[in-house]
Amino acid sequence: MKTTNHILDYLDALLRELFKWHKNRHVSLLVLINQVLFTGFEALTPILVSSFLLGGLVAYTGRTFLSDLGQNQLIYNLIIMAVIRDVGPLITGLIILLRSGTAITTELGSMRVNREIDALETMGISSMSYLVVPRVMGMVFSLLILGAYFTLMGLIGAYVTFFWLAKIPFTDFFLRFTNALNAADLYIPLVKAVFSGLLIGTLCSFHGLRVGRALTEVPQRAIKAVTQCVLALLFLHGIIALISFSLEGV
Amino acid sequence: MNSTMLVTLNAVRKNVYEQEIFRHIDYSFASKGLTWIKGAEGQGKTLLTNLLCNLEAPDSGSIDWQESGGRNMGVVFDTPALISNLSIAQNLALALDHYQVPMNGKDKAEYISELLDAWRLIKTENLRPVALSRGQSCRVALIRALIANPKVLIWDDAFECFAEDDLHFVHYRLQEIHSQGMAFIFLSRRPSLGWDFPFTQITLKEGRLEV
Repeated sequence: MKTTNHILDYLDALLRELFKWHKNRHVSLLVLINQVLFTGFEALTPILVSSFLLGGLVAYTGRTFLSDLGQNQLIYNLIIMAVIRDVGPLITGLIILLRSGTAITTELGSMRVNREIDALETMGISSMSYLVVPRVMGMVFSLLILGAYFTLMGLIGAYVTFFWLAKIPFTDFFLRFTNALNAADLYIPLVKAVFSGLLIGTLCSFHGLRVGRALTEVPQRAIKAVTQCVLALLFLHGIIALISFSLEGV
Repeated sequence: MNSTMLVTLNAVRKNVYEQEIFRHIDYSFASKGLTWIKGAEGQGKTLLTNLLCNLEAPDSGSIDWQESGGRNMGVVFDTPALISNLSIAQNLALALDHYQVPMNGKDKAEYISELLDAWRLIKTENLRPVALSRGQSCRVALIRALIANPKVLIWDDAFECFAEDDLHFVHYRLQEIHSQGMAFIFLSRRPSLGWDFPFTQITLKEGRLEV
């Protein structure tokens, strides 16, 4: 309970800083660009590979299973649900958590142990403005960009599978896919990406800054950050899915 | 508070992990003076540095800075604490930018280069802190602490990172700066300071400052 209160206080302070980031001279563009490059660009390969495989797998399994039930027309809805709305954003969030979230915790933790954060504080530079805000913003931007790449590559994977199984022309695939799409399929992944980025950035930076003076605390905090983030991500995605389904009247 | 006093510790007590480190510290540091706080290992030099820098708060008592002096300090910790993912020039530029020293990009780069040359750190601008020796890193940390001409330099484990030849050079540079009116608070376990100017020596022992 005490930790939850600390996290909520931290989130409150972070949101205040985020909303005035454009006025804050300590928010570093260099740190933001580095974060987007590290999170958004260098994580591209695992994202593209996993999305291609997911798209292909859903197309293959779905086509086989739905054919047996005589519900072939639902295959595009299944791809949209899996690749775009639900599984895709969750996998993107988990990959970014394992790759960049842990990096944020260990980097900030090491900076704390090496007294780099103390040095910033004594110069009057807020660690929240200089270190945390650009990382959280970079995390949100990166998840938005990577989510788009994930969707694109997942659809390519699905189409390649359809073509391999049934030689379906691309125009057919594209038309049926766009017919099955609705507005919520486009904005829900965006909402999930924004909140996932905020959640991963907040929890990982919180644990990084909570490291004390001992180097052994860095891996301990990284483990705590990952565990809490996985649970929180599942919870967050579940809540957003429930809200979206209730709004759509499903 | 007396205007000639920079900072005053009033009945400061501090425990760490339930162990009493400072029992009762009363002391006033003179502005423009040099105070050498001598203390063996484990006597609380780093803790005192943290208290002076407002990184930790005393359990009881107070630390009162002369008006407008609270943040006008340069600090060197027991480790150089340079920002590891910035180059040496970027580390110094960060301090310049924060203190809003009015300079354009070219002037700033030239100024940083001149400072590094003056502290015998030629051609280190683009290096990361990890590429420097400990003595070089400490000199960069000193430049960063002094870059905005603060009222006071607080240095924990002062001079410990320097070899003999570096030590003479750093003494010379610091005495030059001190003669212009900057106060110094050095915390060190060294047996002697080897300082040419008058200074106040106090000893940190068993939770008290002994003059």
